[in-house]
Parts: sequence; C-alpha cells; structure tokens
Amino acid sequence: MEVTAANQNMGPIIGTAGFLFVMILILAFYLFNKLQLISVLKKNAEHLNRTIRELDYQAKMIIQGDMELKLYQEEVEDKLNKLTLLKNLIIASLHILDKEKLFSQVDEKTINDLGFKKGLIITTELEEKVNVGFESNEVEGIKDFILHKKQLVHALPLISAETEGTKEITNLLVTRDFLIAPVKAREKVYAIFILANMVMPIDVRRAEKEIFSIICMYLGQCLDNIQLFEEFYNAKDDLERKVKERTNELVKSLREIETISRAKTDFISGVSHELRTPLTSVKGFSSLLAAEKFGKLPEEAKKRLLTIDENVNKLVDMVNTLLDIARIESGKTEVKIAPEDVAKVMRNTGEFLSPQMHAKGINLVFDIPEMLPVYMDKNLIERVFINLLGNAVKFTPNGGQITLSAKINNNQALISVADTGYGIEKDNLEKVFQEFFRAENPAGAEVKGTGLGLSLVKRIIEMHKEKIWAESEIGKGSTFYFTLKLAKEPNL
Amino acid sequence: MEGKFAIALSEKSGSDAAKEVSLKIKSSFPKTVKHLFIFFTPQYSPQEILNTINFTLKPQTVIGIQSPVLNFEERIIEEGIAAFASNKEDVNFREIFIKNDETQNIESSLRMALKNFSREEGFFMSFLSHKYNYRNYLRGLELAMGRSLNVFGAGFVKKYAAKNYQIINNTVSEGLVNIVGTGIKTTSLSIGGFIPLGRPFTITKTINSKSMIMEIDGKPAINIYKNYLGAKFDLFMKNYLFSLYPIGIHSPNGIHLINVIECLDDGSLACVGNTKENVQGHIMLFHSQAFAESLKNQLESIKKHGEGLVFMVNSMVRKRILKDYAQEESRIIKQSLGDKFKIIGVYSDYSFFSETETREINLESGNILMTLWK
Repeated sequence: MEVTAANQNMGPIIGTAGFLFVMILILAFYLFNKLQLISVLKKNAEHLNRTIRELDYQAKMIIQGDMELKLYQEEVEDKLNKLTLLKNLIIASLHILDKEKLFSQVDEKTINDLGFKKGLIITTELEEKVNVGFESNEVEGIKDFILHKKQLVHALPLISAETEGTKEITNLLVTRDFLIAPVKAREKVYAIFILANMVMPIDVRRAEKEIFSIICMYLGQCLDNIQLFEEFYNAKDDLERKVKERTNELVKSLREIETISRAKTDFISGVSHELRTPLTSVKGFSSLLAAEKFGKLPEEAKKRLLTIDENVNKLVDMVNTLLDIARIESGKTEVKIAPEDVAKVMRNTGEFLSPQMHAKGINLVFDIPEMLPVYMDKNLIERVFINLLGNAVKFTPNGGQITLSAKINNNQALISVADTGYGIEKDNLEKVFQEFFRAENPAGAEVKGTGLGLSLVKRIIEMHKEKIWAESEIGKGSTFYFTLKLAKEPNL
Repeated sequence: MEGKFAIALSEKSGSDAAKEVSLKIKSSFPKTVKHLFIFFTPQYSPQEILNTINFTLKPQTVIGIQSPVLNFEERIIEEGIAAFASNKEDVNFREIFIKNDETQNIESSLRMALKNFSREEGFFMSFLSHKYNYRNYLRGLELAMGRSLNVFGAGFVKKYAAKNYQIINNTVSEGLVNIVGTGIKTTSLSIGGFIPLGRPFTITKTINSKSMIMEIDGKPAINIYKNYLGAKFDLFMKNYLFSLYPIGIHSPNGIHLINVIECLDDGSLACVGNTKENVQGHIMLFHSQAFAESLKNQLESIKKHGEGLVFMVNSMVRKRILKDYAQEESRIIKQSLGDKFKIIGVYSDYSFFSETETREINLESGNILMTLWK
C-alpha cells in the first residue's frame, strides 16, 4: 500500500522531470542549431567581407589602371592641343609685318592654352607688348629687374623654378609655376616673355617648356622677318623718294626748256613777221630794179642787184619756213587730215620740180602704185615732198637719179625719196632734222639752203603722228623714209 | 516636325557662319521665323551674329548662348554656330531679368515674373555664366517657385573664353539668361553611364553653400581617393585628375554625380553639385555598357512622343572623362533616337532639371541632360 502510495506520489515528479528533460533536449537542440546558424552566418559574413575586400581591391585596381590610361590620354591630348595652338599662332601671324600686330596674337586665350593664367612680354627697352593678368606693381618690379640685371637678361635661357639661381625671380613673381624665355631678334634679346600661374595647379611639365620655347623662337623669327621687311620697305621708300625728286627736277627742267622754246618760237615768229613786211618791199623794189623797170642800169649795178634779189628770195624763203615752224610749234597750224591719194601728190611734185632735175640731167624714177589712199593733210605733205625732193635735187650731182617710192608695209604706207648724192655721215642722220643743221659733205658747201627744210618736214610728219627717218651710205646716196596711215578711199 | 522647328549648323569661320545658318533657317521657314535659339562657340562675335540674324531673318525672339563645345545631331562641334528656329504660332518666350545673383534678389525677381505661371503652361530655362553663383541661384529658384515649375538649365564654373556671351533679343550680355517658354511641352531626363565602385561611404561633413565635402566616413574627404589610388595618389594629385572620378550620391531618384574640382590643404574637396551630409556615396567610373543601359531605359520616355526637338546639355567633365568615346556616345544617342528627333545642344559644367515625379531640382555634373521640346 505504501509502495503504491509512493508510486502515486512519484508519478507527477517523474512527469515533470520528463517534461523538463524533453524541454532541455529541445533547448539544447535549438541552441545547437542556433550555434550552427551563427557559425554559418559568421562564415558567410567573413566570406562576404572577403568578397567586399576583394571587390574593393579590384575597384582600386580598376581605378588605378583607368587613371594610368586616362593620364596617358590626357598627356597625348595636351600635346595635341599645344601643337594646335602653335599651328594657329603660325597661321595667324605668318603674313604679319607689324610688330604690334604680331604681339597682339599673343592674347589671353594663347596664354591660357599654354596652360598659364598670366603672361607678359616686355622689351629690353621696357616697353610692354603683352600683358595678361599682371598687376602694374608686378610689371614695375619686372621692369626694375630687367633694368638692373641687363647682363643676366641678355644671356637669358629658358628658365623655370627648377633652374638654379632663380630665387630672386621666384620671389618677384610670387609663384613657383612660371616660365621665362627671351624673344631674340637677330641674335639679340628683343623682349622677355614671362608666363606665370598655371591654370591647373600642377607642376610645369616638359610639354609646357618645349612649346613655350618654340613659341619664343617663332616670335623671334617673325621679328627678324618684320625687320627685314622694314629695311626693304625703307630702302624702297628712299628709292621712290629719290626717283620722285629726280622726276620733279626733270619736270622742272622740261618746263623751263618748254618756256625757253616757247619764247624762242614767239621770238622767231615775231621777228619773222616783222621781217616779212620790209622784205616784201625790198623784194618788190629789187626785182623791179633788176628788171630795169626804173631805167637802164650799169652792168655792174645790175649784177649786184641780181645778187641782192637772189639773197632776198633766200631770206623770204627762210622767213616763211621759220614762220611755218613757229606756227607748228605754237600749235597754230591747223591740220586737216583726210583720205587722199599720196601717189598723185608724189607725181605732181615730181612734175613740179622736173625743170630743176632736167637742168641737172637727173633721172626721176617713180616706183609708186596707180593709187595709194592715205590719211594726210594734202597741203602739208606736198610741202614735205617739195622739201625732200628739193633737197635731193640739190645734193644729187649732175646725171644722178632720184627715186620716189611708195608701198604698203606693215599695214601702212611707206614713202621714200632716194637720191644718188654724196650721202650723210651716220652720226648726222638724226641731226639733219635739227634746225639750221647742215651736214658737212663734199657738196655741202656748194649747196645753198636755210637748214630749216628737214626740220619743218619732221614737224609736219610728227603732226600726222607718223615717223620719219633717214638712211644713207657715203658715196652712194641717201634715202628719206616716212610713214602714213592707209585709208580705204581717197577723198577725190 | 515640319512647321514647328528647323535646325541648322555652320562650321564656317567669321561672319560667314552666321550667314550660312541664317540662310539654312530661311530655306526651312521662308516667310517668318518667330523664335530663334542660337548656340555658338567662342570663336564668333555675338554682335556680328546678331546683326546677321536681324538682317536675314528678323525673328521675334533671339536667344543666344555661347558654349565652348556644341552638339548637333550625332556630332560634337568645337567651332561652329548651331541654331534652331520655331514659327509655331502659340509658342512664346519671355525673358526674366535678374539684377544680381543674391538669393533674395533671385527669389523676389522670379516671384514677380512668374506670379501667374503654372508648370502646366510651359517651362523655365536658365543659363548661368561662371560669374553667377549657381547655389544661390537654385536656392532662389526653389524659394520662389517651390516645386510648381518645370525647370531646366545649365551653367559654367570655369572660364572657357575671355568672355562668356549671351544674346537676349537685341542685346549682347555676359551673365545670366532666364527664359519662360509657353506653348511647348518639355520632358527632361538625365543620361548617366557611371557605375559605383568599391564600398559605399558616408559623407559626414559638408558646407553645402560652398559645395564643399569636408569629411567622408569621419575622415578628411580626400582620403577616399588616397584609399583607392594607393601609390598612384601623388600622380593623381600632381596631374589634377579629380574630375575623372566623380562622386555619386544616392537619392530616391537614383545616383547623382558630384564633380570634384579641387582639393584644399585640409583634405576637403571643392565640388560642383549638391553636397549633403549623411548620405551614402560612391566613387564613380564611366562604363560604356552602363551608358548603353541608361540610354535604353531613359530614351523610351522621349521616343514614345514619336518626334520632336531634343535639346541636349552635355557635360564638359564628361567630355574630359570620355575623350574619344564622347564622339561615339553622340553617335549612339542619335542612332537610338532616330531621324524623327533632331538633336541640338551645348556643353556646360553643370546642369539642372526638375524631376517629373518628385519635382525636385536635380543638380548634376557629369551626366547628360536631355529635354524634349514638342
């Protein structure tokens, strides 16, 4: 009974213990599971951490690799940009021949493209050519430096903060990122080019130094070209000035000659006029006296009177020719150019002078076409032929030949009067057209003349805007040529 | 697109370029040109361009933007003049004059000018020269308009030419262009192509008003580059290569790029972009595959419109990063859009636009901003 009672008492205890046991088992299992889970999570976390670290490491590698690549690309691009800058500067300044204009090409953009914020070009004469960003007190300091360090300035290479002994300049510019180089013209330092404060806060690299050095050399080359041009221009200017001076002197002399010539013409014209009236009277009376209209004269007196009459004729002839020349020179002679048959005029003149030729036994030959229409003043050209033919008769010895010729040559009429006289010295061929010139030849002394005929002939031909010239061979004769413009039909 | 927009390009030098562009536009719109947007590289004189345009086309509105580089269809133009013209009757452009770049002034000027203007009516477009503080400007814009305006624009922090000109109607100026456009529907989006690299970090200290990142993960910000570049860090510093590896900032709209432009002595980074504290970031690396994916995903929202004019604001820093691939990228964009979309655009240091969904203004430096005009 006691056992039963005891058993009855033990039952709940055993049940509770069993429950507790089961609970402990469950808890233990749970804890075990949790511990396992924590362990897995820990492992996962560690793994994740490792992965993140790995990813971070890879990210670092990627960024570092990418940076190297980009840096290389940046350098290449930077160099290309600087080359473009140089190319643009060269294109813009290639034909500049003015110093101010040349330096104006170095503007803010150029300075910035070179990689700097400030730029200054100052000559050794302390003249400011370019100033981008430099304050006036800084410029004064630099001027002072140039003034007091002349020797240094004239031996200046390209310098930067890395160059030894530049502490003074570094202090002066208050920066370490600067470049200074000389701009040389004809091997002498013309100006100092200063770049300061880089746009990007990086150190001055080799690329900046190289391009800066090239630009300074290029500016120097441009200055050389400008100086050469200026010298050339000045020389040309000087030459032009001298030519102008000489031309003015010549014009002045020509005007003086023209004035004198006009005075001479006026004088000759005046004198000839004054002479012609009394000469007409003298001529009239001398002719009447010689013809014994006032009574018979002693033989000696008649002989003298005939000489007077002959000389008066010569004088009248000279006065008339002089008057004609004077009229032509003064422009008073009216020229009436019209289409005319020059062949007809030549034949008529030949016939007109045939008695003189006949007297000397001279043979007159016509080498002319039936008709040759030309533009001419008929009366004036008649005078030309009378003078030329008259001269030919005078200078052709007895039994000689005179040839009157006319032909078409180079679309113009070429007229010639040839004789078989003594000829003219080569040196005198031009002079025979001068007033009062008389060539020295064996017949010269014997032949009477005024020395004005050929001068008048030349003037008449020139009035026609044509040419006249003479060709001659001593002992064989002379030929006088002149040209006339061809006309379609003569004004018959 | 016929009867709405015409585009033209000339790469001739001097005044010949403006003449050629004018004549090309004239051949598309022989009768009248109502509005003309002209983009030109610094080699050209804005006054000469303006004179030629006024002589040849006599448009009602002329807006001109100078940019160091241009985009025209599939090409990158280093020297040239590009233009697009509109003769759409219901399109209007109005200039808003802002005296200076102080936030308060910008805010009050914009409030006055845009009093009765709603997002649905049109858009607001700005271009800022390097002289303008874009942080003050965007702050003023946000204060004035909140999220009620469809905004996009671009600007410069660097000086790419002696002067940064703009043309607003008959005036050549330097500084700021603010244009309100109505009658044109615009859709803006950003094309990336950068992938995050390595462990994310937290930006712990910034001066947002100055776009400075002081500390990352409690350490000087520059250390993030030191960590990744190891022995090559000195070379990186010496050659000033920060811009090659922008920082990507995580936001609900995706990752926005911040371009690092300088490292200060204390190890802090001067940036272009929104620098906020306690946001996660990454070092970013351009990857052509990522670009292709971004292009594929983003262009769908443009292509569904069938046709239109795509005004593209590309990034100068992106051009520097991509180098020769930049040209290839332009070709891929054009190929993806097809012939029914005409592309014209400029390059800048940063761009901004308001998100369609969140209407927040995103400021970015490195991605491409595309705005469809329809």
